[in-house]
Amino acid sequence: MLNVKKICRELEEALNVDEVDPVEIMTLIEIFVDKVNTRRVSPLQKRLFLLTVVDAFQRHKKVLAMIGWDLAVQLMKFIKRDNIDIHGNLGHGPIATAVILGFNAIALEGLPKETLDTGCELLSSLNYKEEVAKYELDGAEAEVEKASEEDEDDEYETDTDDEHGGATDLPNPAVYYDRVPGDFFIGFKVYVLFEMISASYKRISTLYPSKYLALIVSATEEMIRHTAPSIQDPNLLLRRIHNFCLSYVPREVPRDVLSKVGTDEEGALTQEQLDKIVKEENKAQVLLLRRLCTFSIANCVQGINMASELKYFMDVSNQTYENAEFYRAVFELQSRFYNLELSYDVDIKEEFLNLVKESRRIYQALPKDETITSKEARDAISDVAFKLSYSYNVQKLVHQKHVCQAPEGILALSAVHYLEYNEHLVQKLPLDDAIFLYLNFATRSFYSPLFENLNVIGAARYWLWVSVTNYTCSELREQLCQISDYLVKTMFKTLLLKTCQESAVMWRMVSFTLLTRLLCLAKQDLAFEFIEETLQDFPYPHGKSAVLVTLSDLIMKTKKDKSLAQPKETSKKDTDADDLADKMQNLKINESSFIDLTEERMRVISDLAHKAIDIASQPERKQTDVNLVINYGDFFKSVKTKWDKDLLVEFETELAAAYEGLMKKETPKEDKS
Amino acid sequence: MSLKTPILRAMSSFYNFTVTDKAGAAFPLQQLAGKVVLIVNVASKCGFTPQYKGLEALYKKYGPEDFVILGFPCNQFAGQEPGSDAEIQSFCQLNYGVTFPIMHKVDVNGGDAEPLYEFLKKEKTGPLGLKRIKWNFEKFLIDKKGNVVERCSSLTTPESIDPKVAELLKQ
Repeated sequence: MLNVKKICRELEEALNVDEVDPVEIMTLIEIFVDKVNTRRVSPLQKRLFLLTVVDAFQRHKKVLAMIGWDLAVQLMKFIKRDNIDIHGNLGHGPIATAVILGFNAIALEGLPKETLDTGCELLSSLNYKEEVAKYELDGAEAEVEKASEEDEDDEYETDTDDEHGGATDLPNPAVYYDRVPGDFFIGFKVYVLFEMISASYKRISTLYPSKYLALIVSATEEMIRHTAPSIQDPNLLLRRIHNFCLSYVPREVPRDVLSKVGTDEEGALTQEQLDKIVKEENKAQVLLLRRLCTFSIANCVQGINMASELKYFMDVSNQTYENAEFYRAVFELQSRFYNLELSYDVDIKEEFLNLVKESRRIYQALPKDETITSKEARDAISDVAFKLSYSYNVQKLVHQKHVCQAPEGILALSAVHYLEYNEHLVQKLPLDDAIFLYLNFATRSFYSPLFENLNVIGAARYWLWVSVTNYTCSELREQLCQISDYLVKTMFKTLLLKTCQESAVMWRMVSFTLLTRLLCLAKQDLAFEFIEETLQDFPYPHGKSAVLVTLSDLIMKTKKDKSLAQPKETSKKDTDADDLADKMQNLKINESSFIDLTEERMRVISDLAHKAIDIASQPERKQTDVNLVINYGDFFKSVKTKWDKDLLVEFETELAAAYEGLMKKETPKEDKS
Repeated sequence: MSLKTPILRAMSSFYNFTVTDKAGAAFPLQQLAGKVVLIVNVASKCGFTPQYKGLEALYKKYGPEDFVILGFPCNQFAGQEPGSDAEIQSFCQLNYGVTFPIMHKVDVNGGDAEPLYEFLKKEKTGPLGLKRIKWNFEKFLIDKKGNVVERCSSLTTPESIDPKVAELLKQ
């Protein structure tokens, strides 16, 4: 059993010598931490050690000032599974509270610049996956150690039982918080580090505070990159960052600098020089805070769909939108960031429109449809279209020399505006602009997980909804014609791919509905081509099934069909605007479908259905292959009144033959048994 | 009378505004001429809400003859002031014994911002030269001539404003 009291005594003695060597003290602490921070030492003993360290340094503030930065690293070692019960009340945790006291002491007494530097280094090194792995490893090791408990020989070992033995003082069992280990430890570490960083930053006396603020912003971004993709409760991060921004107080000009102004002393500044520096520093701080705000709001919630899209869908469908508790909590923080961004004098609308312009500019560099002469060229350019946003944004990152707001954050905030005010930030966004915006933010994620962001892509989809519901159909068709066909197809493919990756049923349904609406607006040939290509080689079978349902809708429903009507607010306007067109259409004998059936089109789909039957007949078939055949069956049932009867018979015959073949193959097996 | 003299020009700005009181009636700021005024955007569910206590103490100490506090409820910051005007009044009186005027709920930022706030923000920028209100309980101190002399963040407690109020009252 370890004699912690002896360790504490030795630490006291080391601090009580005439000339304390900080390096020696730090080395001693490191050795002691390694000894104390093991499973063989009880939580109360560890607490005793930590409190002794804190108390000793409170009495030796000069030493604390010098070694505080390294002490923080040692304290971090105590934030782990063995020491903190993740389900208990943190306020009663013997080690957690001692660690907090330690960080507090460092924040107030450590050399501010060095402490800030260490805090930022520790913050940027946080990694969610590593935290989880460490948690699991600690658990596994604890099991192994339980099985083979052996005491090692050590000069600090004692045979007395004055150290509260190995029994742990578990928190009140009546209190049980259902916490996720990764979230808990990342949340706790972010909390103590932000507290330390904020406090030490406030103590730095400098004429150039932006230099230190930049360090904090950079470390926070790094931390977000490695924690946000896995964290389940993004509010753990958002709260800390918001709190930091909200309580941010600009540094005052150091007194020594002020006292020298206008004097002949060495290094003295003139009032003009000082004013210029202060002005530039203020500007730099504002830019950095805006950057922190926009980067955080976009990336902390990157794994969560933007609720604006669902809310708007519900609103236009005349359904009640009920936000789950979790989304309400996320929105509360989003709202805070929205107002924080406003408080930084940012015109979110203007920034958003700039984003739209930039997105348009990216895709306008591509050639127009009519200039592409061959299919090969078209395919090559389509590939470029997919990668264009990624290439552009990588280049932008490489060449960017100024601090700027995170565009993803601006897009996210533009959608938060709807949740905040129940009205769109921009009342009317042309469909072509919404498509460029969507392509810009959605396609880049295919090439790097760094750009994968459900929240931001959801915001871009929300704007597609805004577009398709705030113009008349004829206006929308006109706007869609402004974009090259291959780009529209790229958008369809992206939308379908992203929708198929979506795990939440509700969001998948909303996205498929959006895709259907957009296909209704596209040129028939283009819509059919997209559906054909999807049925041919789309990677997700449920995507193929979804477009079959869409195709059936496009064939069976007519352009006057009210089931695809505009939302409540716009339907009247649409009716008025398209009134003449409707009357003209009424003069025709036949109402037109969104996709007219031709012999060739029916043959193409029938061939694809036969291909699906072939695949489903193979021994290596998957259940999804069989499901697709069933969906073809459902599709043909739904369009049978318009479909070629011979082709329907052909499908049924082949399906029956395939089924018979399968039964035959399986029957001998049954006979054998 | 000419408006060209600096004093009158200043007065013409702040005192020309008319806001709306809790009952929905017009409240011309002209009636505050010659008084020191503290304008605060308040909220009932905010971490800074306990500042009501300090504000009331300040008002009791110096008001209402020479010093007035006007509280403007605002729901723009995390929706922390969701109630109606009547609910807000009742909350302030029951929980903090507020006797200074709490006005009609307003927006302090954005397109629908109360014109008075647009004026105040323009007159006195916040830290780092930023104009917009950052959070609940941001404070503007106006001297007896209608000059916006100080803008304090939510973090500034009413107690710490006391000396400045006292100084302005002496002028």
